Amino acid sequence: MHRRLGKKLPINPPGLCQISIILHFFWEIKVTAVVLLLPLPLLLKELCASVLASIVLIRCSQKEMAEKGGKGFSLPKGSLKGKDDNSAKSKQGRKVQIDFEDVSDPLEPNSPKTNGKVNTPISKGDSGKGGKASKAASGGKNSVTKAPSPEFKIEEELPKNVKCLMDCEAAEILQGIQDRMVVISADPSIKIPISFDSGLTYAKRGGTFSNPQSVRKILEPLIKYGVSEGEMCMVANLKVESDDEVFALVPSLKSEEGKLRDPLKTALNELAKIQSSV
Amino acid sequence: MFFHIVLERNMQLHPRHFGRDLRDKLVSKLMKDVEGTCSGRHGFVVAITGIESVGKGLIRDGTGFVTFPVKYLCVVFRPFKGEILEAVVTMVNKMGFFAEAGPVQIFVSNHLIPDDMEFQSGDVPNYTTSDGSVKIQKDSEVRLKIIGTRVDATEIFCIGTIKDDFLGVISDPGSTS
Repeated sequence: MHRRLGKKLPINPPGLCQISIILHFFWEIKVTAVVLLLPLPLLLKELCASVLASIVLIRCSQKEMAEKGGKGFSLPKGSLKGKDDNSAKSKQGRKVQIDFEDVSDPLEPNSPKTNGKVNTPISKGDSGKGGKASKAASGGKNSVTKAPSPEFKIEEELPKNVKCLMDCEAAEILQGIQDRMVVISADPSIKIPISFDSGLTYAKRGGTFSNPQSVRKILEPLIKYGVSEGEMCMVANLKVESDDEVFALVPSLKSEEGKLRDPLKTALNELAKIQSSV
Repeated sequence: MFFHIVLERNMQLHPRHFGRDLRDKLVSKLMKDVEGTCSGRHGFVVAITGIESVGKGLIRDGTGFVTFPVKYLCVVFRPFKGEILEAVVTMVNKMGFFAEAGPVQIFVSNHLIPDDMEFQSGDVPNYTTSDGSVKIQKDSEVRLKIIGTRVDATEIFCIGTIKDDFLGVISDPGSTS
């Protein structure tokens, strides 16, 4: 082996040859390392550049999103609000509420009527109960955004052997029972239920009419104009002050508004007289 | 709204109550059983006002009990969708407020309170208009409209709104003080 090597490399003595081989080996390693390492910074540079570029791109897109984003999200709401002209101008904070209204807006025909009314004459003029109530309602200014107002149809839901009672009538009956209860209450097994007390307190609230018969006599003529007994009782219970108030609170009467307005006005005037005399 | 209605119920009576005052015993048992109860169809039975008829008793097999069909007149209170009620506020929180109209509980969500009324927390939580002229707090009287009802075994619970014309506060306890 040595000889052959010596033959092949006659100049170099065998020891030197080994060294040169080792050196050559190391040289090759160095070269390969250099070859390998040389592009590394370049690669790193490229990598850094691409990362930076992507960050810049992401930031830009985020900026764009932020700029457009608000409008983008509000657009659907705006489009929802498009149904409602006034509400479209309202603040963002109200959007949720308006959406709620829009979703549950099955009785849209009611709102234009109430809009048209604007309820100013009573809310401004009156300082009484109705005035305050209407003030609270008109305080909401955007009465456009109204809650769904279901129709008041009790006749369909109740059995036939039912008589609607005005609060004053109920108060009279319940008061009579309570007076009798004082006598009966010696029997400890009979207890007055809570609903009786709360019912009586409710029926007697706000000083109802002292003479229920006369109230019924005043309001009963309205039945021939298409007013149901339930609606009649509600008119008596609420002690309304104007015909506009009645038509706003009992929308089912609006269909008969034309022929009902005058008799209703007279009835309300009569009721006011009774109330003032109490 | 209050109603006067004729209802019917089968009353079971133990034989020990039979005698001259059987009818009185039946009536007092009926009052105990029925008054204060609540049903989805008729609402709260507030008070029994009279007995229309007491039918013939039927002995139940195997027991000494006798069943009497009793027709009675009573005053009931039932809220209806679309009805306007005047209720007293019992609790106010940021979700809305609770009110009572007779035996009925009503919840008015803040979505159904006019937009310009904002919740104010504090010792007396309340909803107030921006100018402070209208305030809803505990014991305030409000006129509201019923928009939904839920009937439980023992109570009727309603959802109301004051977001409409002529609805809202009718008397404020703060204004008198």
